[in-house]
Amino acid sequence: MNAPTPQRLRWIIIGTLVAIAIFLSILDSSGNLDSFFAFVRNPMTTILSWTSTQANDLNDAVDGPASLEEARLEIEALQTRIDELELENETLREVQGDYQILLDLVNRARQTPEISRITASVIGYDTSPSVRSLIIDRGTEDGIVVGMPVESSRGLVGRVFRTTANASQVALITDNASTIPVRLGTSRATGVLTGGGIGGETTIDWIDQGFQIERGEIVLTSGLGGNFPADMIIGRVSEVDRNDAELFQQSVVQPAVDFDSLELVFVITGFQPVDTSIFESP
Amino acid sequence: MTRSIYIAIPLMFLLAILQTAVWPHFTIFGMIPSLPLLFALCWAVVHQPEDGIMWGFIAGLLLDLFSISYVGISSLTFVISVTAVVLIADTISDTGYLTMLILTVVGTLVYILSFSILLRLWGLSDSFNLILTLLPLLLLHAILVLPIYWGLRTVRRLFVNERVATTS
Repeated sequence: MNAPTPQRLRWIIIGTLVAIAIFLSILDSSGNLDSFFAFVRNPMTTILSWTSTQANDLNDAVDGPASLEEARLEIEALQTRIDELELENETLREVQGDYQILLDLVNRARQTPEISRITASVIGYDTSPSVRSLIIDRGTEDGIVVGMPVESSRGLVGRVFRTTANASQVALITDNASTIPVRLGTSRATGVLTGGGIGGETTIDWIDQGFQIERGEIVLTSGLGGNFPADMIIGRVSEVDRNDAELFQQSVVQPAVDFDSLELVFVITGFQPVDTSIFESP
Repeated sequence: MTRSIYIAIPLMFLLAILQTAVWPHFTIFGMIPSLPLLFALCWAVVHQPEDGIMWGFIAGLLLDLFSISYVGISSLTFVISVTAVVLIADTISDTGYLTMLILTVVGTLVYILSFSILLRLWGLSDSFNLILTLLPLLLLHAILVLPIYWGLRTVRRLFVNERVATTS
């Protein structure tokens, strides 16, 4: 039998790789590979966590040339002892930053004592260019389950999408696939918040035309559907799209959370869902 | 295929870690370049097309482990993207920096389009908003591909020279 030509061999390789990739994605989407990939991901998340910490430190160092310059001037004036003080000062600033984040989180926890939470650190962001998610350092061993809401001190971040033993992936509220029942603070209108992905806008659809929506209105979770606690802050209305010819109006939302600078988040492990028993048949 | 596959696994692992944990802290125009894709494209042009395609497949698998999308989707898009570039490169006799630049633009276009379509097919996204990020990403990839291309060409030249010297 003749050996395949280089051209043919290339197409055999491409065909095989494409088939494997499709096969893997079908298996993964059906959940058949969860335990295998969790096993693979576990050691990788440890490396990821360490790398993320180093990158954070480097980023802080790059962002701080002004304070370094300031320190240099002080060194001239106060000589050698200032070196030690400046170092101490930097450390304290970092501690203060962490303290502020924790204080915000504790305050948030205090406001809603009926909700149980676990604190988690953000250790990575999604590698794919269109889906929006982040990776946190808590997993099934900490009691995290797929579907749990995640919030920061400023508001709702998203939902746990996938878990491993010691890490989880959180789909952000701005992700394309995210849909959340919401309520507006002043007008009390309800609708469904949909993420726009990277480059897109987060919008509220299905708002009844009867409501007069104002820019700047606060957007909260309605709690309907039972996936999220009620009254969690999501953001503010930044634009209203009202057309009398249509049945519903739409609003654009500016999320309250700055997703690019998240360091610590809360995973909500338990809450009282909105009582929908009145809708159940007797 | 050559033994460069053994280099691909640790290299792509390193790039996947950088892509997930380091670049998000140092975004350029708010974008994160896809370095694994650029490496796979360059290697396909510089060394052997089949190797580049395999590099892309491995890179995609590793990236998907850190992504919310299903395992295999990035691999598929990388394979499609590198294949498109290989097919065009086959018709060009000379591959210099300008050619590599054009091939990268084509590769990135195919990558973004195929990714958008696949995400929609798998129900992970219901819009094509990703296309809005195309222009800054193309610009970023066009800038970054030149040093990567130069580096991989140098590595290959050294590697080939070494092999010739060993043989003689």
